[in-house]
Amino acid sequence: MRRTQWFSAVALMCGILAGDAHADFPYINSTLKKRQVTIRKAVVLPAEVAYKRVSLKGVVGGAEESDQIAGAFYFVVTRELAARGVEVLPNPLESAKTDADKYAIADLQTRYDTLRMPLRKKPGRVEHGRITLDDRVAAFTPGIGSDALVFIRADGASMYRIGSLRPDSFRAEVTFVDAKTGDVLALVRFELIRDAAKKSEERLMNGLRDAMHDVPLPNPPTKK
Amino acid sequence: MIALAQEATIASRNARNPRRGSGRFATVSLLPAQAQTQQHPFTFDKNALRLLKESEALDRQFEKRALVYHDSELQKYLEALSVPLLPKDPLEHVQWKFRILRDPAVNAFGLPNGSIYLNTGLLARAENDDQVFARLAHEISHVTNRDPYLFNRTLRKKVVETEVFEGAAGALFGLSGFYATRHVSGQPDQIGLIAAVTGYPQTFEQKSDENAVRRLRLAGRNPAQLVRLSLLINRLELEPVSFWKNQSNIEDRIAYEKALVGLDRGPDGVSDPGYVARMKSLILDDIHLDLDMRRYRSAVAAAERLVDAYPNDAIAVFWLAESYRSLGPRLEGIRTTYQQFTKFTDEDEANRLAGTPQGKAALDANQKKSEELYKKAASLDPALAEPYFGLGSLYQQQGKKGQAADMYRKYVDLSQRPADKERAKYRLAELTKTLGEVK
Repeated sequence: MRRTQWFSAVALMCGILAGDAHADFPYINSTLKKRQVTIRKAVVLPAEVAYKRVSLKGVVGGAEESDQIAGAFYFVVTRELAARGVEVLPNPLESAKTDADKYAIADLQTRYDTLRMPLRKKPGRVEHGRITLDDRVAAFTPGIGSDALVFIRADGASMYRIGSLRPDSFRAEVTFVDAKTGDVLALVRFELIRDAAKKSEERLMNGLRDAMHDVPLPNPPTKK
Repeated sequence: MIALAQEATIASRNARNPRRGSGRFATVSLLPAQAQTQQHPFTFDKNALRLLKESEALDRQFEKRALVYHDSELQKYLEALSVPLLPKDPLEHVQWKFRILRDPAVNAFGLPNGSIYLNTGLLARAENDDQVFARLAHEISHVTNRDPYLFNRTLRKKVVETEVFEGAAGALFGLSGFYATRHVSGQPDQIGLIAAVTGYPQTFEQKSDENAVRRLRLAGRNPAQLVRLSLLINRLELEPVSFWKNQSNIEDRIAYEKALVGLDRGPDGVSDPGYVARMKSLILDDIHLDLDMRRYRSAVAAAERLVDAYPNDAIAVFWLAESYRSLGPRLEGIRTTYQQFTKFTDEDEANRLAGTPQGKAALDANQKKSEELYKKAASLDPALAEPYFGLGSLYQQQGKKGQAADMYRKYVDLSQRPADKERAKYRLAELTKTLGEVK
């Protein structure tokens, strides 16, 4: 390996270690980038988080932590969006009264999960506007009047210690979907190298703020 | 008594090493499940209690994510069906609950806390009460035998083996986590729970099958329907991402079940019109889920079944039309590979297939069928708005913009749902724009 490559690798590692979080470059749809579409109002769908605790005897649970992180992640996303000038409409799950309302949310989440597989395989398609949930999203009642639907997914693990190291991992992604056409407008991803179940809000906020830095929203990103 | 002791030894040995029993079929048990649990009272250690806690968390997750299908009539039906299957004495840390999960995967499972889940996919494909009874008996048997705990305990003793299994399970959930059951059950990642949902090793399954057959016989029901349900699962899982990853396992299981019941060929289906009537709204919901998850072939199969039972039901006919339109250039009976499914979006896949001669022929045939069916649904119930939206979408796909715009206008006039009207208006505005440009 050449000296410059070594230097880059070491610098990257130092950067990651210094900052808890590492954000990927966001994938932004060209219509959002060119401001042909703007996100002023958004509905944030409940976060879905898969988190597990791993001991020397294998996996020892994580369902409660998953719930806790999901709650914190939802809160952090809504707070960051509000800080960036986006009006966040009420949580659809809390305003759902009938079974049909709840099923509509579950169905939308399922449709996103189905789309998520090709989305993860080739996220670059977002930039060309070639990935969509189709205009059926327009019939999602809680989304009427909003510009975007926001989907939150994350998975992670808290591992057992190896010496003084504890190789925890947490990968998160936030996807913005046009509430009328269903086109994916932006996909942001970040990773945490600390346990996301502890100081969840603070750690998630750090990662999210970096990841959403370049997403065109009404207000510019806030400084740390 | 000697037989009882021998069986207990085999059971405990198999529980210690679940792979040991595979490849040869375990002795056919003649003892009721209750007697077995009485002989070996289960002791709850720290890990068992943790598993119990995880299964309760899983129950809450299913409910919180609106994955539980609520229908009081079907709830009563399942409870009534399960009465003869439950042990007389209460089991420690077991509270029997029977729930329907909104998941089109053909599956059912029992959690260690006594929550028995039957997927809408399974209930929509079953043909009669005996098949549901057989499946309930099978799952209840897993819970009474404490299979999730025993399996979990066995694997926990072998850390390396556990890690390997976790890796496999992780890949399984990671790759096809879009099935509701898998997605949620993948979260706790407790081995016993994963096995409870996706299937145990052969010995555990065989014991539960034996119990199910015995229960069917005792209740005066047809034990061959257990085999029939397995055959239905095998035949109807046409989808690229089959829930049952290992096809040979289910074929082995069918062979074993046939031997158990004493059949030398596949049993005939006994279609019960009363069962279809009871499940009608559930089947419609399941078709909707199938379409959301790109399971178009399953949607067509379910809708055809419904239309066979109710040829003059406008809603059933509409959903068959919708299923054929969504099937598009995909050939019936030919699976898309898993790789293609994850690589291509729905639209990309359809465009790619439509470019081939077979795909083009399939597209034409399916569009023709769906147009006829939409028109039939509209004639059966002129007040039903949905067929017009379907026709609008179909004509738009075919490039018939003027006709599509007419259909959307009709839909806007008839539809009672503001959100759907907005969607049609948006499409109409886009079409009018392009039609204006053409003029």
